[in-house]
Amino acid sequence: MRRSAAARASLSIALLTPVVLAAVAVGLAVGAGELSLSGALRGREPDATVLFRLRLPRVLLAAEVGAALSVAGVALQALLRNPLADPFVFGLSGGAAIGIAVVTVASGSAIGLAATSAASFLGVLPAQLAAVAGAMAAALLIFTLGRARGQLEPARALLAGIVFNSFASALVLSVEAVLRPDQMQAVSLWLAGTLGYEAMPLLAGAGIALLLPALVLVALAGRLNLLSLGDEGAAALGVDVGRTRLLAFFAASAAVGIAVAFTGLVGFVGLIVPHAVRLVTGPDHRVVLPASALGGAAFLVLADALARVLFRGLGAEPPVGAVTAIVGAPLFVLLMRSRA
Amino acid sequence: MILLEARGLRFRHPGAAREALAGASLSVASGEVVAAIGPNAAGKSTLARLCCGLLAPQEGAISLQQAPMSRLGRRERARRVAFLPQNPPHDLSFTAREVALMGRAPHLGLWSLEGPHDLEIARSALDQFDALDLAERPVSQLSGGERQRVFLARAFAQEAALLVLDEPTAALDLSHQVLLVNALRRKAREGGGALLVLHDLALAGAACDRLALLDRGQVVAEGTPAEVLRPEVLSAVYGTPVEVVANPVTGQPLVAPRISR
Amino acid sequence: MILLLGLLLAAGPRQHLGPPAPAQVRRVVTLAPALSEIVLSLGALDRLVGVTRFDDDPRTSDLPRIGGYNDPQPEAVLAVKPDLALAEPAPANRGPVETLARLGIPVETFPLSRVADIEDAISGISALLGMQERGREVRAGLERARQEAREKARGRPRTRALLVFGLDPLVVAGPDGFAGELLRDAGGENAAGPNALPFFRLSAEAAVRAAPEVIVLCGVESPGGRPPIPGLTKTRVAVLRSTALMHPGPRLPEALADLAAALAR
Repeated sequence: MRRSAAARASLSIALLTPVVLAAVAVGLAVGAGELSLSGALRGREPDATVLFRLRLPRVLLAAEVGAALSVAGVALQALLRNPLADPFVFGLSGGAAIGIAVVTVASGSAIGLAATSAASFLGVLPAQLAAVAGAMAAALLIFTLGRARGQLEPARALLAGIVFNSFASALVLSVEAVLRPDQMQAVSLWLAGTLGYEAMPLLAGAGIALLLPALVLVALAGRLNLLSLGDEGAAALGVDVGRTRLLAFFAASAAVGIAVAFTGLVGFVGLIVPHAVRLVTGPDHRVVLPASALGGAAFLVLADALARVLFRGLGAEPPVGAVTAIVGAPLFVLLMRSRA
Repeated sequence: MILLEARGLRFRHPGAAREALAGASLSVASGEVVAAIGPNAAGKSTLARLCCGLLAPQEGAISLQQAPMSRLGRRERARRVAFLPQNPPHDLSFTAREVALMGRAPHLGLWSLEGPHDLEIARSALDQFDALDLAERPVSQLSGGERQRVFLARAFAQEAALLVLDEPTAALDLSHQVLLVNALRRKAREGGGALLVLHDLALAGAACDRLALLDRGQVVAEGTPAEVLRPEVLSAVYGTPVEVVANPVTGQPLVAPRISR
Repeated sequence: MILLLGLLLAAGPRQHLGPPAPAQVRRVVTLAPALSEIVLSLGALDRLVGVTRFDDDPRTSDLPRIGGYNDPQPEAVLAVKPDLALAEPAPANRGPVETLARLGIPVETFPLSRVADIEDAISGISALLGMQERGREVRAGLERARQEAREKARGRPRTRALLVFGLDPLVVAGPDGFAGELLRDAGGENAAGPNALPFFRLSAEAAVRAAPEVIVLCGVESPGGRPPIPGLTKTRVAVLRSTALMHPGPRLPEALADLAAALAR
């Protein structure tokens, strides 16, 4: 590794970009029915609609969410100095679940019913916003609880996050008694993580919105490296440890919030992709961050393609959050052993 | 040029009953290697941290190259003083080369990317500490002494005029201790300076231009090794009888605790 | 079972999404079995081109499956090239249904919580298919069956009953849902007490306090050897033979006779 970090990062990007493109090709080729690519390109229906308005947005969403969750995972693992941190560890999943449950319950009550029935099917938006708001509120709470003497203390924050998540799950389980079964189904599906079909303008907006936290994290990458020297070691090298942590935390939370608003809690990606990447690239965040973004995108696109193919005969799809774990776990074990 | 000037420092750690430093003063001029010595809890490490700007004194003033510490930005401070703590982290998966390169951080731009100049400085720093063959190995896999040399390389790669090293020789074997002393003296000749926190009084006597003896938060003796390393002073401060003899070859004072068999 | 109940509880008004339906609807996709049954009862099997994987009517066995209640697959729906999709509104299928509308498929949603909803759905769907006459017949048939049941029950004392759709947790029909309404037609009195929901969870304690004379099990097995509801050990248990009460559609009249028999001492 005599190359500079810039060179290694560029190399990773150069090697992984074709992987992402290949994954996208697989994702576009796979689906509930047969698709004629030439037909679709010539504008034949329904092939053209299936390709451009169903599969393409879905694959793009998977890529965006996979990248966002992986990058957030890298950042949080650095912040907490804990390789077991995942994007939802800061209580994000608990907060989002509470948000969703509250909106779902409210929409069942007389007041909520009137409000959401007016937009009825379009009332999906309140639920998404509630999820993101819940996630951000929880993140803020945990960040505050995890501070001691004005500094974020990793162990404290981690503990607070885990405790909060347990509290939130218990709350959601209790709410289950009040929710109607159909509402509970909607909540459960969201909690398991699902990829749907979104409109392209929305996806483009989300992609742009995700660029900002991503760039912030890439700029912080060098400083994240220095954090591994300990708070004192990093401070002695000129790092504003408190501010670096704050920025990284909010950038990661923003990325997770945006992703989660679309898909619910897709687990495993943010935990495993950074580790898998580090096994190959080493710990330098300037390389791990871009590599994880690309690796995460490819991984989720492929996991989603697999989800769509697996149950094709049965006409159903398992939630992508389940497939990421089913596929990711053995893959990760293989990778770990080959490097041991 | 005065690299470090610290006057009348008072510091109490939050929640502590006693002050760690009760009015300590110290200076390091370019070309000098100064050691802070003294028993445990004398305030040596606290003093070192204050001199790096990691802690702020409740009373007193510190300046680096005549600029008050409080007015220096973090990065500017890191360009003027390089700090090596007593127990650097040992579970790093970064390679020795990567750790040495971390020393360049205060000089890098927004995206924290090193250039060929930085790579060369890190390489020669590793070389200086006989650690070039460790370059591609993860720090977590190195022995205590090897790791210490890598961190020393990192501190030197920072190219700060002043080095503040807390117990830098603890894990080093004899030859590498000598290596460090030589590196320090070379730096001093080039116009830099160093403040060492040392337990090893023999090394203090042999390697340093000036010593500051601390006891319970105050500098009770300051001057050349011959002036400070006197049996009556040391016995009083350390609370145990010591002998001081002159090294027959170099003439430098050698301290030995009196132990009867 | 829970899935079924889930859809049965869907709340949301009649709604139209996406582009307007064509004047001549020839290819209909249904996203719930009850809606398929309505289409079939109107005699429009030839126009049905896609159903859910839960449809079990033998007449639909050759039709392509387009997904489930909560996860209709847009690709599969597109593949059968429908000019109309019929859906029951539910929180979980909102996303896919909206996607279909966005892709240019006319979607009509029909809640099916109450008998009035079902009758509206029959009218609405028959209008969309241009079969209003047939729709009126089916509605009339439904009303007739209800009227007959009410006549038979007139003058007799009402039987207090719990209409149970789920055990563990205990889920019962409320007076305001289609199951509860048919219970009333058949001469029963809903022991489950006032509740706006068509189906809801009841605690064992509340069930005991409700003191029903008969526990009617609909679509659930009586657990062998022990009473279905703890605490109501002496209460008579009746099991409905027909599964028509599970489907909020034109098969409801089948259930009425069954219910009456279950209630009779």
